[in-house]
Amino acid sequence: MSDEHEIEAAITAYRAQLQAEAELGRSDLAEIEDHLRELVTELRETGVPVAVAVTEAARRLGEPAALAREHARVRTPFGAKLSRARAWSACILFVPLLYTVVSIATQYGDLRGAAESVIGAGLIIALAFRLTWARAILLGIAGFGSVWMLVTLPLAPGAPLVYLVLDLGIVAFLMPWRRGELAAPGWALALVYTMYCGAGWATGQLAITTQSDDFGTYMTAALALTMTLSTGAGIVLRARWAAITAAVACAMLVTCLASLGSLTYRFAQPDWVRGYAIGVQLVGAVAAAVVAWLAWVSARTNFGTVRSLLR
Amino acid sequence: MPRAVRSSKPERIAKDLIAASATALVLSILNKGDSYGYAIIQEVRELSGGQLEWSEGMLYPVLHRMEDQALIESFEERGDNGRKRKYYRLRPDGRRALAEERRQWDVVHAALTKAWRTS
Repeated sequence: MSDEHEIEAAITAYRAQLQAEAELGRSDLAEIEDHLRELVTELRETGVPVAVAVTEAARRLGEPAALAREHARVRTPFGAKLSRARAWSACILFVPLLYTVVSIATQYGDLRGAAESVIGAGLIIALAFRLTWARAILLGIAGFGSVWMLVTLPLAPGAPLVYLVLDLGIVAFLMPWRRGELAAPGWALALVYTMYCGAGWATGQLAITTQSDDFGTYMTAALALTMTLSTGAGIVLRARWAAITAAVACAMLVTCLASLGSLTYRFAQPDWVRGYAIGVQLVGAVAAAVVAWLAWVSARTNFGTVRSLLR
Repeated sequence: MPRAVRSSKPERIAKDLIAASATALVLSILNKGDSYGYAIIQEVRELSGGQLEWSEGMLYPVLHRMEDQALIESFEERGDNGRKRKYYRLRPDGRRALAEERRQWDVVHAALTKAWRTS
């Protein structure tokens, strides 16, 4: 084996070991690889034989496992770790929003509201522990909430502005203001709530139509909703199957959209109701397609791992 | 005496001290001009006459944390070897942090000097 080949093989091996241990982003890996190359060059210039230079360079750079541990304290597969101040500020702003969700759920006693309350509380607790996947999902929730309020405000002027203020405040704290602060799986998680709203509208508005008992129509919307929830869980596990559930959710949302024209409401609805439904489901379907792609390219394994759960 | 100091070889600087001075060193080096990981390590070695030996890979988490704190920012440029390389530059917050680090190290240094003079 020639010297150049030997060096390339050693560098590739080191990089692979580091990647397996640390789940670093491409640019972080390239940065360390660049350093390793410089070290090898430096050592060889002093007349050290190739085999020794490669071993010594790796020793000076550090054990991949130790580097991985150190990196994990700063970076996670989903993005940079949020500071305690920002995470806790966002948590505080979420409390009144959660209270609203819980009080509506108890008032109407519906299952979905109860599930949303439990998941919401869980996410806020996870954010308090600075888990980056929770930050990404909650950023998506507050971001969608802000846009939704801004779009609907002209139609419902009486809407309480305090929600908009809370949502915008949360977005300000959770937003990745720096380039590269959120990684691809983080962005995918931020889009999951948009999918959820699309699917939520598809099921929710079926209830006020005469087709609510139609099994096929109902199953399409329900499938979109369950596939969306599975996608969120799958991306947190860094599993490739999350791309498939997102793709199925996307297909179901498109089917719902196609059948939207034939839905007849039980009671006369304002004109904007159908318009909203089209808008939300369309945006949800587009988000699902993007999530499917992001989940596919950024998955760690086919079935996922619980290792990223505490990141 | 802290365990880290006692257990280290006499010619090496203790791990804890290296970690504590890392931010101040990186800020000071970047204050002189933009730089990248390998060059920063070289500079630290030169400045300390080879006494400060970092486990070199550990520099990157430090740089990334400082980037998260908006003390420094990174940008990519083609290096002299033709490969793309990540450079770091100081941000206004970093300049302020450097001033504060200097003040604190000066206090520690002055206190130790005084203590050793009278002993």
